[in-house]
Amino acid sequence: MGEMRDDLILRVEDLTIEFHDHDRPECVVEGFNLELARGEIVGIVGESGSGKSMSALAIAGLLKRHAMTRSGRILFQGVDLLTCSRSQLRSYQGDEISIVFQEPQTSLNPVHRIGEQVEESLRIHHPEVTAQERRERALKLMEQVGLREPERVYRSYPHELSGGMRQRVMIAAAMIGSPQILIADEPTTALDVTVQAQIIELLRNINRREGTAILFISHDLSLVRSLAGRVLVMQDGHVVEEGASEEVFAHPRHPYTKRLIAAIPVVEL
Amino acid sequence: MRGILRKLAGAVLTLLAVTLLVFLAFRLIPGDPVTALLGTEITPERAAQLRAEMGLDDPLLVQYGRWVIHALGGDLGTSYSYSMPVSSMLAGKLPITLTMSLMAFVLSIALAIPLGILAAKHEGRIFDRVLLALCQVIMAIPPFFSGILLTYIFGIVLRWFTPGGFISYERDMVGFLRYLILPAVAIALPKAAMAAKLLRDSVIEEAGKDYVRTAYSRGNATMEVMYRHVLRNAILPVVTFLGMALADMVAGSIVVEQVFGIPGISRILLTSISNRDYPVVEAIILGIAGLVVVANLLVDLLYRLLDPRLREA
Ligand SMILES: Nc1ncnc2c1ncn2[C@@H]1O[C@H](COP(=O)(O)OP(=O)(O)O)[C@@H](O)[C@H]1O
Ligand SMILES: [Mg+2]
Repeated sequence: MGEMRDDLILRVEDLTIEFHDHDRPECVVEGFNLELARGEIVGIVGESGSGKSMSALAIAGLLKRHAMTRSGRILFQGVDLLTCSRSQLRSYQGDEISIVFQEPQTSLNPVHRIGEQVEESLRIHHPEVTAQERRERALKLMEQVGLREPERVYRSYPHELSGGMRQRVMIAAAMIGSPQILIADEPTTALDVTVQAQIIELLRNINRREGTAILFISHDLSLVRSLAGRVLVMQDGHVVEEGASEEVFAHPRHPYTKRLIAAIPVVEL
Repeated sequence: MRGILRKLAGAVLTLLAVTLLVFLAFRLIPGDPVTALLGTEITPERAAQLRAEMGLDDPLLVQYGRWVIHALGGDLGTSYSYSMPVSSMLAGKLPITLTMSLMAFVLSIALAIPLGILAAKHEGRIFDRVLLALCQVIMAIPPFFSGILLTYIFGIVLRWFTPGGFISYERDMVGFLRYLILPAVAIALPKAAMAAKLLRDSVIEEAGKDYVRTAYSRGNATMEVMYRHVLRNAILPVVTFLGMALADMVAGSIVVEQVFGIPGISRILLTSISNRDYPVVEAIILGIAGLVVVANLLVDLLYRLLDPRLREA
């Protein structure tokens, strides 16, 4: 089933997601196609409600199974994530494919220590790694994502950290298994502008240093342009434009893309 | 640490307040122990003499202070009507009531936790619906009534035990505990039903939260998500509820003792109240309030242990 180009690690073909929890079926993503190469950063932009998160959750294997139908294929290492077994899917989650969410305030478990949460994927997927080694790797990674005093943060609980710190924790937790793909679903939307810039820089560094492919999702085209080489523009569940981000930014073809660009506020410095 | 000290001080104050209230309430309602003691032989002179001997003429706060000082020294006084030390009067009785309450408490936890989790896992399906309907009914049945029902079914129809054939723990510990099972069930059922529903709702609510999605994204299996992530959070409101329910279960024990003919403190409590036998009533109230206060302290500690957000507070 997996006839992929050599450097491709993910190919989404004709992904369609339909909800059935109301009387009328509701198509939230339709005919979504995506190719992601090793070490590449691809951006997805679109207004809120355009289907970005649904597509991201589908790739991360996190769509709830009831009340919706999914069709198409999500090929990772030649395996279709939509139809493979639960245990096969689990073996990729957190180890090969990681995700960081929009809501750093609520995405961490309030009753577990930060260290435990950063290490979790490693504990699940690599039981051969000793607790001591796990701890060392977590501390090193926490330092790399810009958490000062990693020892203290390691012992802290989520409510003791700021939003920016929690998002760094989420990124460290996502990276501990050295995944092939990191999905970042509006990772900076809940943060203030300075922290936003730092997180973007952090993602860029991760991509350069580890060669992790990143699927970067945002409603902010300027952010996507600064980070991603290629961009997909989504509207109402459809990809309406796709191309190199400089090109799309300079010469938008679709009227929706033009509107998105016009909507970018001019920052006065 | 300071929080814990404050809690301890609060617990002592609670005990003082409860016993003071009982003390005052008894002086305000009509009837006094002297009348009850002397019965038909009462004359105004003898009554006045006895009242003076018993210290009942002193100001109320002096009387209360005297009681507190004695109680602190372990002396709960002498029963007016039985002329025997209160402590030896209650020694054989209070353990029965408290054992039964604790059995009911453990039983309600043992029933509520697995049922609540199971119902949440089957949300909206047949098991969940049946259990919810059952809980709704059971919550509304008072322990004395289910006690009568259980006595009828297991005692009279099935003959699994002899109604009224209480076995004392000094004679046969196992028989004693076995006799207490049904009364404990009667007390536990409504609380277990409520706690099971509470846990079910709480698990369902927690399962929809963002951190659960995160847990799945790291490759956790459903069971791991449930036991490592959801349950630790979902159990919090249930802990609070069970802490409060313990006081109710002690009160429930007192009623159910009557139904099952168990010689706990209920009979003594009732006769002592009508005889205005203050020392006995005070001692029983102190025992029950003490249990409740200790339970609340434990719940508080447990809560802090389970929820890091409360630790500094
Ligand atoms: N349970 C649901 N039932 C029906 N529609 C839903 C449900 N959840 C989300 N949607 C819809 O799916 C669409 C896409 O949502 P989403 O992918 O979260 O958008 P984005 O991330 O681009 O803001 C939205 O229009 C939203 O209303
Ligand atoms: Mg979204």
